[in-house]
Amino acid sequence: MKDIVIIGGGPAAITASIYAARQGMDLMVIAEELGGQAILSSAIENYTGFELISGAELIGKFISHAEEFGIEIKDSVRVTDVKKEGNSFSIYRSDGNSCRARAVIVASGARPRKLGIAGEEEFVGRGLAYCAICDAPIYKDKTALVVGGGNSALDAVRQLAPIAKKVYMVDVAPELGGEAVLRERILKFPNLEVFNSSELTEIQGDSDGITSVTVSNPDKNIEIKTDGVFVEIGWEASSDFVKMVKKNKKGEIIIDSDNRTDVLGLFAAGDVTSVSKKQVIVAAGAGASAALNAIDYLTRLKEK
Amino acid sequence: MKVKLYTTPTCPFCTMAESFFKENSIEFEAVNVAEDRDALEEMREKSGQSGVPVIDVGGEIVIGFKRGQLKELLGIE
Ligand SMILES: Cc1cc2nc3c(=O)[nH]c(=O)nc-3n(C[C@H](O)[C@H](O)[C@H](O)COP(=O)(O)OP(=O)(O)OC[C@H]3O[C@@H](n4cnc5c(N)ncnc54)[C@H](O)[C@@H]3O)c2cc1C
Repeated sequence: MKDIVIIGGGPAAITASIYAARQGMDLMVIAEELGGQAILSSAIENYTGFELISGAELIGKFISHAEEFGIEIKDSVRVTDVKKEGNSFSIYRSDGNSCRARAVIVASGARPRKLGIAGEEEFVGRGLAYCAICDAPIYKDKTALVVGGGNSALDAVRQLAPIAKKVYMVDVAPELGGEAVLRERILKFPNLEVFNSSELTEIQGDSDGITSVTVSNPDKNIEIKTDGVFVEIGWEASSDFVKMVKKNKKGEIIIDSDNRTDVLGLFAAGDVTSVSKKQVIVAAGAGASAALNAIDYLTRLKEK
Repeated sequence: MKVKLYTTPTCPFCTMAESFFKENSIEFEAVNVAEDRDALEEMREKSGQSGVPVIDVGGEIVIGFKRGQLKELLGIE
């Protein structure tokens, strides 16, 4: 039985693991994708001590720091369920294993929101991407379609339009959102076509990948030929695997100022929680708080 | 063991993979599939994927930058 199992691999989880390891806790970190969403940030300018650093580099430093303590990190493994039995927790994993812990810190952050339409799962990585910064350069002289109308969708178009043959944008809102400067800039691309008040309803393709999509608006359905689809419709809390805990409407875990949830011994930190500010430094601080409060809880448990 | 990393110039997970190989003194070849269309085809054939990173570790294909899986394949403690 572990003292603490930390679920997640972003700034909150990594910081929690360092605090817990320094206090001599027997712990394990379980992370689906070690590093978390900050890796996608090409420039972080608001993490104290670093005027400018890429997300990949900053997170690389976080991971190296944790590795200094010899922390047991199970990477590429997803937690599928957490159950409480008496005073301890059972944590179930996608690799079929499970483990037990006296305290749990949920720091599973956020993940890209999915479209939830036919063809989406089938074409992930085969033309359908949630990481524009990764795959945009592959669309040189090809056709790409971006779903969404906020800053991340605008940014995807900014990367695609200069190199692609044609770029489509499909947005549910009547007008594009995001920052005005960026919006004006991308609307000048001659090869961009925007569908407002429209939704993507189906993705079609063959064994080589995506061939076309269906775009629907109240009047009609249009079939558009495209090689790729970039989904940029925001992020959502990755909390569905913890069923017993109280969450808000957005699926964020509700915590108090000591990172406690409504389940005794279960703590939460970072973007997966109901805190309104989602930032690396906020998540890291919350991870520290969750670890220290989990340690207090375990100390009291032992005294009983 | 031959290690080949299929990458694009802007992919942050590829940058992390490169640092990981360097830190662990693993020799690897990086190919930019945005420029090299043959490499893109090769990556597609091997992995069925058209997104990066894809990593070929002595014939075993890793999709994405999966530290745990890479450590196992490369025998890193
Ligand atoms: C493009 C972009 C740019 C950004 N730029 C900035 C910036 O400049 N400055 C700034 O401060 N913030 C920035 N942010 C926000 C910042 O990245 C987040 O606030 C921060 O990463 C939250 O950390 P976290 O640890 O709570 O969660 P995350 O970073 O989301 O990490 C969650 C972790 O949990 C794992 N996980 C999820 N579900 C499970 C499960 N079931 N089992 C196991 N593991 C699981 C994930 O794989 C991941 O490792 C940016 C975000 C994005 C997307």
